[in-house]
Amino acid sequence: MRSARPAGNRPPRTVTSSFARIERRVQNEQSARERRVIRDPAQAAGIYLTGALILVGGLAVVTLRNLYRAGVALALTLLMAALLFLLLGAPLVGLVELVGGVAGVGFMLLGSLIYLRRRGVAGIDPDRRLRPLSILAALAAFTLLAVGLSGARWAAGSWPEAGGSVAMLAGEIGQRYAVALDGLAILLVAALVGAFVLGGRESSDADTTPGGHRKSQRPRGRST
Amino acid sequence: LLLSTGLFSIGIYGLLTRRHAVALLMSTQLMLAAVIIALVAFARFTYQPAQPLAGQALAVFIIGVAVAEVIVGTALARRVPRQ
Repeated sequence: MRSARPAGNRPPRTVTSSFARIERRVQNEQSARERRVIRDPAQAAGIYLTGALILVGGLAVVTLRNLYRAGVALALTLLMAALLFLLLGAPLVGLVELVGGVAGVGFMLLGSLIYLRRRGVAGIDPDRRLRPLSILAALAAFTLLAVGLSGARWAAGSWPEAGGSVAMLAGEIGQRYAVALDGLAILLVAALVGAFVLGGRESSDADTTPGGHRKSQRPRGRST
Repeated sequence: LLLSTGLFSIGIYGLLTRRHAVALLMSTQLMLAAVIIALVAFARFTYQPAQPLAGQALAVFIIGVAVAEVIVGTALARRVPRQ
């Protein structure tokens, strides 16, 4: 209940202040409407559940000592991220994440771990000396980013539907970002070539003794 | 955005804690996933009529860069424990 104020204490009402008040009220209503961008409760519940699973998976990736389990947790985390993109209305990004992130990254890391195990390198990460400092650094980064992002305002507008967004995104990537797409292709090819060169050097190092002789060279004078 | 912030912080924690090369790669992948989630969230909520899908396009490119990073990183990780 509003209390009656004496007329003498009331600030002078001008046209400018009235306009400013109306503009502020419109902005507040608009921002309140924009906060409810996701109106479907099932979609919102799915997003929250997927987000929680992503956080749990991320914690498992960095805390599990067994790196194989950590790799599986990473693959599941990226799978949940792909599902989150689908729920957010970005199906093409979700599909790319599924192929590149889950299949590519997950299986490459797990394959690398299996290869290292065959070479006698254990898949256990025992070092835990930096833990308190690391927790402090992570908390500081979280605080800094959360404060920085707290002022983000959502703009009004609606995305195209899922199928339309795929077609639009493919069109944009093929037309507006064609040079960037070519750059990405060159980067991937360069990475593949670099990986092959590193792998070839490794195999030649493994086959060479410290004296420079190849291990695989059969000793002379002996028959098979 | 809070989710991406939390995931990025978890990645930083893993990057500072872990010592195994493959584990470091996993932590960087977590951080990249956080960046991609933030990009898609920004693209979802900060709608721009002129370029409505610019954030999604950038997210696709970042996924490609992440794959390239893992390709080189795994090749390096195979060499590092030997030296």
